[in-house]
Amino acid sequence: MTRFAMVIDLKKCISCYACMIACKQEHFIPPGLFWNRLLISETGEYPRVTRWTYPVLCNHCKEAACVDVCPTGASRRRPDGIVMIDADKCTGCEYCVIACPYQQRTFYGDDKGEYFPGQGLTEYEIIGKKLYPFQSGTVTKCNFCAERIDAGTKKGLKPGIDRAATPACVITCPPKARHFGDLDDPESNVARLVRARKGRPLRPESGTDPSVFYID
Amino acid sequence: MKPYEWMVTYTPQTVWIERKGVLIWLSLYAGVLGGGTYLASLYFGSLHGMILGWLVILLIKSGLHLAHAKRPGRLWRMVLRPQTSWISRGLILTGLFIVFGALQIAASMRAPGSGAELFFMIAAGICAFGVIVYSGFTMSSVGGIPFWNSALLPTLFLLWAVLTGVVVVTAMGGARVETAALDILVLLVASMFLIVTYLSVAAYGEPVMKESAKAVMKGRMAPVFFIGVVLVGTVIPLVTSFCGYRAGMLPVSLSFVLVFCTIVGGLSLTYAALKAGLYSPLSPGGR
Repeated sequence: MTRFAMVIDLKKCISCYACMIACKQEHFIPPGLFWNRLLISETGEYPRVTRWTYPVLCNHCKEAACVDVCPTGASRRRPDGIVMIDADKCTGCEYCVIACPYQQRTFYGDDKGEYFPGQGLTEYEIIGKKLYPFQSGTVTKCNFCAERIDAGTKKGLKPGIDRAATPACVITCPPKARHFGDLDDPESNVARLVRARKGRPLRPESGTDPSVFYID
Repeated sequence: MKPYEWMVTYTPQTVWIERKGVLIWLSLYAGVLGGGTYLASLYFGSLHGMILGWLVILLIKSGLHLAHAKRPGRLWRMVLRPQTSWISRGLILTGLFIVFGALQIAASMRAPGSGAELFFMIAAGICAFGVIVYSGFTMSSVGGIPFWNSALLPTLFLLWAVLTGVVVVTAMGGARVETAALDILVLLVASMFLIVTYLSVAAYGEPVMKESAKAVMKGRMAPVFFIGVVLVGTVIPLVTSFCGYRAGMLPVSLSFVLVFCTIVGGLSLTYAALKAGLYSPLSPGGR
């Protein structure tokens, strides 16, 4: 079986927000919505302060709480482990938004939003609405760039190795802090990193078995 | 909450309590009110109470769900996953209650005492019970919000539903005050005990639960909790029903005060529970 997973090296992340922007660009994500985010926090007091940076995205959990609570079956987990939302089936009840312990789902309610309010849609937004139409009144989230993976796999490319079959945030990351691959393949880069550097998911006590791991 | 605090500190759930989410709060409570009134009416044999409970669920609860729906044309899809989703189960139970309740009311009017009436009473009663507890289970099944993730929540909803139901039926003249007043007293004491237990469990639980309990008892939800739940929802009904029990009668005006108080108490309780739901921070720097 295949289980796509991501490993994020916190030592390499430089908080440049390139992943957030690449994601927005790749999916023509409307204003106010984010599939990728950066959480930045501080602990301690001057002069002993620690700054924590956590890039977060949908964890594509093996035991996804969002999939279980979805009353319509719009949220589903593909055989390769990617958790998807079928916008045509979503009713926008937002139970999945509530259920996600990582809060990585967002309700898209306003399809009138413009990046430059009052100035009309940019060419980029017009193209985006054609290529990647978001349905208002539904829930959205990161899909691990499933369309890139699917198109690349059809061409015989390997996700995580070949750029064209790898999520946009991974190939964009300037310090190469993000790694992508098949967790079930013991020889894949992600499986080796998780093993060798004790990769840990966020909040494992949630019992959702996430597919995004952090190493430091 | 500032954008840079999101999931870095304790993050409140807003989806089911702010903006259009207010409709979910009201619909959850309407299920408790309608289901409780119907169950209490079955116990006391009050047909008017049954009709009222049925109408609350048909018009108010279902109406609020429809008003909340962002894609009403797809609502039918929400009954497709009863194997895992409490919303699916709840909608099925609500639909069945509306059908069985209508048949029971019709049978009670046209053929009282018949086998059909008894059958529909049992079926509608089971569905009413389901409508009440599903409100609690919908919340308690959310593992990401530990404050809600408790088996005590559906029990508390059930208890409050029966309490409100008994009060409503008594006010409608469907129950004898001498017996109903004692029932109300017992239910109030049991509810108080359950609320204290629920908050105590949270206060001694994991940090995010403590934070939620603190929000209810000392923080932003304290006025709602102490005025709405404790004073209006519990103390006033306790004194009123105790006086009614001692006197063996309850003036109509006081029985309506009781109805008002238990409804305000139930609304406040649901509101405080929904509003105090917090997510744990994702980053270790969270506090």
